[in-house]
Order: sequence, then structure tokens, then C-alpha cells
Amino acid sequence: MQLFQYAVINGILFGLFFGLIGIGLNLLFGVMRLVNLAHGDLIVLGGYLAYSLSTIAHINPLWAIPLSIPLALVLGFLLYQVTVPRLKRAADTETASLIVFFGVSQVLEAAATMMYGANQVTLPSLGGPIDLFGQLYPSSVVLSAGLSIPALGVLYAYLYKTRLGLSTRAVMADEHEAIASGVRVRFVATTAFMIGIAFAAIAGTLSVYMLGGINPTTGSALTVTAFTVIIIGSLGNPLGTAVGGLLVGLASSLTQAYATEWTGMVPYVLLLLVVLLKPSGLFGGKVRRA
Amino acid sequence: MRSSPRLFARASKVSHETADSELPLTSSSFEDENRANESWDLGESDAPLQVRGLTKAFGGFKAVSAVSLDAVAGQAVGLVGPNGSGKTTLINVVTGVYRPSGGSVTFKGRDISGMPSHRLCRLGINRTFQIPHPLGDLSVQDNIAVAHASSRSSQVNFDADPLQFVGLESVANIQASFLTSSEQKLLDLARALATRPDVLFIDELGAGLSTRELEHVAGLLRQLKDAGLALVIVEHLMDFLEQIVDTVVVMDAGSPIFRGTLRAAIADRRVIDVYLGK
Repeated sequence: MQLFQYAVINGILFGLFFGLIGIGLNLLFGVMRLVNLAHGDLIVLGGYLAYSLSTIAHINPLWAIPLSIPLALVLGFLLYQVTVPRLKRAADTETASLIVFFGVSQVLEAAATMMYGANQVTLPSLGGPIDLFGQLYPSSVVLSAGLSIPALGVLYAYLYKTRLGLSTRAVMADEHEAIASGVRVRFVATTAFMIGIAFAAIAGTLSVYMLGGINPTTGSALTVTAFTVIIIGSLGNPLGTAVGGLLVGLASSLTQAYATEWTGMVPYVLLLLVVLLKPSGLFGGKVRRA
Repeated sequence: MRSSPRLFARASKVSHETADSELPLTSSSFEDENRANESWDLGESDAPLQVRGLTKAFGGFKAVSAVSLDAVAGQAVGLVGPNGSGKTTLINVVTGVYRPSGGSVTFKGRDISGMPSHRLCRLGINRTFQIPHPLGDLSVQDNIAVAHASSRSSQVNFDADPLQFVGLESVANIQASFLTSSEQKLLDLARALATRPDVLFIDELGAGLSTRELEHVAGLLRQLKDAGLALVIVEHLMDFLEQIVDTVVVMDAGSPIFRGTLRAAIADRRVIDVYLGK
């Protein structure tokens, strides 16, 4: 029973983090139908920023979070201007974006290898373990998961409580209808893209703690996890991403506790089951057209 | 030499006035000798939206060919013609879905040819769609809120709540994808109205509606007209159209072949030929 409780809480902690790594990816896909294969590498880029702050500037790596947000917004803006208008003109935006962002991913991975080497880099622990319901968890994991909650909350508030968020959801639902309603799609899309990259950067700092360390190939693995999360929770649905993250977190944690050798496989079995049984994802609805 | 443009302007204005007394809204685009007086050059008019010699070609195919049209505040023009005569394409060009290949569209004296839809929407030009695509993931209320967010202060005397106006207030909190097809059509109209347009294009709103629903919609469109909106209505249902429009423009193969009242159109030889074959 104790093992079960530990596994569930651990699963929730990781699940919150998985939700955070999925949300930025889902925003890009939901709003612009872009398949951002470089998402994981952008996360790792945020992780390396935290590492540099810690090793070169000798300041608390958590400062990387507020610092990386404006940097990510600028990077997101530039990346959008360079890639997206051209991708939108392509006959098949989704496939073209997959290829372009695969290229971006490879470039980032190579650049990270050049600058930081192929070995894993880590950050010093944030303090002693934290007691949750009578059991101890690493403070870095608890803190990272804890920070995921306000981050997800901010995005939720943006999408559901602001005017721009309403326009963003309108573009997600139907770009052409949004245009007919007077929505400035390009402005909405640029903002969503910048926010999506900023979420990757936030997740980046936390990823070094959650994963125990990062190396240049961590990005590809994170991209796969992020895609698993958003497909389970439904593409384009931010609430589904949070739930998808929790499911993947719980599934990994429970298998780790009871059938360790299956850990690497279970999230993807879950993904296959969802795709086979409900191809639109757990939160995907049917749409009736007139 | 210097005075000739001026003379020309005066002459064209005179011819416009004579045309005006017969055909209050528009004149034909045909450069046919028999109808030389129906030159597409309407000259100046005080209609807010003026379409002049508008052409849209897809490759070598002219879907819309030198069409002129005025949308006048408080009036409704019917746009009729067989399938494929270019009615929807005309709406698509005027409302910014396609860029025109030739001709011009002016709105309140400003050239708006080729301006994208979302900007036209903010200027006061909107449309409904033949096949509505509501924002299915959003509630009916939120569909309207999206459009409200880009509404403008209109001179048109219409400030009713769009959902109440079309009679969808009882389903306001339902997800839009659950609406029936006729409810989706009404939502599309409410969505367009929420942007507070001066000029509204209605693309086959009546198709697929029941007799009762048609009567309801005709009543709504008459109210909009009375409130001062300029309506351009594409429709195949003549009984429906008769309840709303002041004049009609009949199109065939991308060009207008008749302008006048609907009654006169039904009796016109050219119109009958187009519909029934010679």
C-alpha cells in the first residue's frame, strides 16, 4: 500500500511536469497545425541556460525561469517570422512543418553538443527531501511539479479569461471562421507561438531537475513524450494535455514501482490504446457540420 | 484638351442620372451594343459599398466578369442566377476571400479591393456562409463573443443582442457543434451581426430551411433592412427573396444579364432563357 501511494504521488508529480512539456507543443499544433519536432530541443535549450547560470554566473539556476521567458518570447517571434508564413503557404502545412522543425531540432542538438559536449550535465540539489503524506520525495521534483501548476494555470487563464485567449481558441476551432469573425489570425498565431516557446523554456529549467540531468539527445526523447501526452489528451485541447500528462506520469510511475522492466514501454502502449479506441484522443469531440 | 475630362465627367453623370430613374441600384456590366446605356461605369453614387467592373479569373476561366453593384443602406439586392453563374465567387471576392483580377471595390470612398476578410469585417462588411462552420469547440455564446471582440461602432440602428435576435438565446451555453444545421445557419447570421456590419452579404441562408424557418428568417432580414443595413442576398428561393429584396441582379456565366424588380426579372426573356434554355 505504501508503495502504491508513493507511486501515485510520484506519478502525479511527474504528470504535472509532463503536462507542462506537452502544453507548449499543443498550443503550436492547435493554433497553427504546426508539428514542432524541435519542441524537446527547445526545452533542453532552456535547461542549458539554467546550467550556464549555475556554472558560469554562479547564481541560483531557478533564475533561469524568469530570465528564459523574455528570451524565449524573442526567439519564438524570430522563429515564427522565419518559418511560419512560408509554412502556411505550403500545400500541406503539417508535413512541411514536420520537416522544417526536424531540421531545427538537428541544428539545436548539434549546437548543444558543440557547446556543452555529449555528456550529461546536472544541477546541484535544491535542498533536502520533502515529506508528502508521510513519504519523502526529492525537493527538486516537488518544486518542479509545484511550479508546473501555476504555469499551467497562467495558460488556462490566458485561454479562458482573456479576449486574446478567446480569439486563440477561435483560431484553434476554425481558422477561416475566426477570420470571418474579424480575428487578426496572424497576431493571434504569433502570440500563441511565442507563448508556446516560452513554455518550452520554463519546462527546460525544470527538466534538469525532473530528469536528474540533460544531454543533447534528451530533446528528442522529450519531444516523443510531449507528443504522447498531447495525443492521449487530444490534439489542440489544452485541458486534455494536463490530463494526458497526469495519465502518462501515473502510468510510468506505477509500472516503475511494480514492473520496472516495462517502464519504457507503458506510456506508448497507453498511446496505442488511445489511438486505437478513441483516435481523436480522450478529449476530442465529434463535430457535426451543417 | 484640358477641359475634356471635365466635360466627360459631366456627360457620364447625366447618363448616370437617367439610368438611376429606371434602375435605382445598379446598371449592367454588359458592353453589349443593345444595352450600351447600361455601361458598368455607374459614375458616382452615394452607396456605401460600390463594386465596379469586378472580375475574377481562375486561370483562363472568368468566374466573375466585369460586375458592378451598389449596396445601399436600408435596401436589399437579390443576387440570383443558375448554379455556377458566379454569385458566391462575387461575394468571396468582395469580402476578401479571393483577390480580384480586375475592377474595384470601394467602401465609403475608400478602395478596399483585395483587403483581407478580417480587416473588412472591422470596417463593417461581413457575410454569412452557404455552409456555416461554427467554432464547434466553443459555446454558442463564445462564438458570438469572438465576433463581438472585433465589433465596431456602427452607424446602423441595430443594437439588439444577436443571439436573441435570431432566437438562439435558449441554446447560448451549448457547444456549437451540437446545433442542428438550421440552428448553425442562424448562428452564422448572429455571428455576422455581432461584428455590427453596415453591409451584409447573405449566401443562401434559406437553402435547407423549413417553410416556417424561412418565414422567420425572411422576417429577420426585413428587420435588418429596416434598421439600415445594406443587404446583398444570394438565393435560389424566389418566394423567399420576394419578401425581402427591392431589386435583383440576375447573373449568368459570371456577368449580370438583368437588373430590376424580381417580378420583372421573372418575366424577362433573357432570364427565362438562362433558366430554362432557349
